[in-house]
Amino acid sequence: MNCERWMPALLEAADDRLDDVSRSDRDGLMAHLEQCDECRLALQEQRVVRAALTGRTDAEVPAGFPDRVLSEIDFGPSSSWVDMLRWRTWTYRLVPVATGLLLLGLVTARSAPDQIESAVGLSELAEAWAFGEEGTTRAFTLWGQEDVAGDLLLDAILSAEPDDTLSGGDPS
Amino acid sequence: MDHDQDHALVEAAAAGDAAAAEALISRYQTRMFNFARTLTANDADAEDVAQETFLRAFRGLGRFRGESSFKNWLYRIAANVARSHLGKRVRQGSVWDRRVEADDAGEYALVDQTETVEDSVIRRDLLDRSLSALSDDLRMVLVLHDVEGLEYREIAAVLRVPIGTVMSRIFRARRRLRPLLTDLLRRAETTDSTENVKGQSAETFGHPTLGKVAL
Repeated sequence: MNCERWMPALLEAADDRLDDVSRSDRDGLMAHLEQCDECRLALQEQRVVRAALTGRTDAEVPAGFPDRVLSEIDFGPSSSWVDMLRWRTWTYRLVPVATGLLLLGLVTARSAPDQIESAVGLSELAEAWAFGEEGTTRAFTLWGQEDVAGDLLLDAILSAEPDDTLSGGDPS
Repeated sequence: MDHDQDHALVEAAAAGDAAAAEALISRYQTRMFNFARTLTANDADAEDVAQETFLRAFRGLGRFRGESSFKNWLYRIAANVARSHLGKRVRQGSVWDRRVEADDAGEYALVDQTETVEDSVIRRDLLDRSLSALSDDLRMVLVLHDVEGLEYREIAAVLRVPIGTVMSRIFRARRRLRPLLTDLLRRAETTDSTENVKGQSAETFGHPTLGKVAL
């Protein structure tokens, strides 16, 4: 006997909802039950367990439950808490933009090496202005000495002439 | 009607209306707590699961598109939270203890009492402990159908499984639960099933065979 064939209709019967089953399935189930002791027992079993579960009484929700939930949520008026909590969405959406900017930077660097060199040249000029052609200035040298007087160091800093060092050690 | 009211409350809560959020919690806290209670078999875990369910729901209101009811959306979140929660308990080794308790749970029903509040609490505890002996998949479909009253198609949507799977699991879950509820069901058979079903069955089904089944 093909008992599994009748399982859906048997379930509906257990729920007292045979009206939802087609006429042919209903008649077929009845004919099957006439000759199948196992399915008759199964139907009884299904109905009894269902009766026990549908009769379960609700447990009482612990006092203060809503307040505890609400206390975990920020309802600040300055910004919508829902929007604040969508940061993941925004992060995901910004990934293509960030990737595009990175690629654009790489393409630019490859296609304009002269500009990169000029940028390096600027950093060298800045270093020369700060430390002089040999990497030192009078003020920098005095700064490294322990016994130099404060007023002398201040005078050296104030009287420093960065333009001289920018000329590469050749004031003329 | 409920669906429309839920929709309005959901929109208001998504806009930051705390009163709307509170109204949604009040409306569904009993369902969610009891759903969690049947899945975890104790109050503390049930409260954790229910609370996490609401928090995830409110944090994700922006993603709720209203294709399903808010109630069923909550059930889906609760099922996921409960799975995660139960998974932790399995790793902590506490499920084995619960199953042993479930096997012994029949003792609760051996106490001969009239139906008092205490008795109903004992019966509920017995049911929940017995349910905990089922696998998560079987327990969820059975609770959603027999305790929470969801239709097969609703359960299929909540758990994202085919309707045939839902029906098959319900059938198997009831068969496995039956021996664990022996004493409780003995009462049910001598009261609800024998008295009520016996009287109704022939009329309800209109067939002598189904009438005999109910006996």
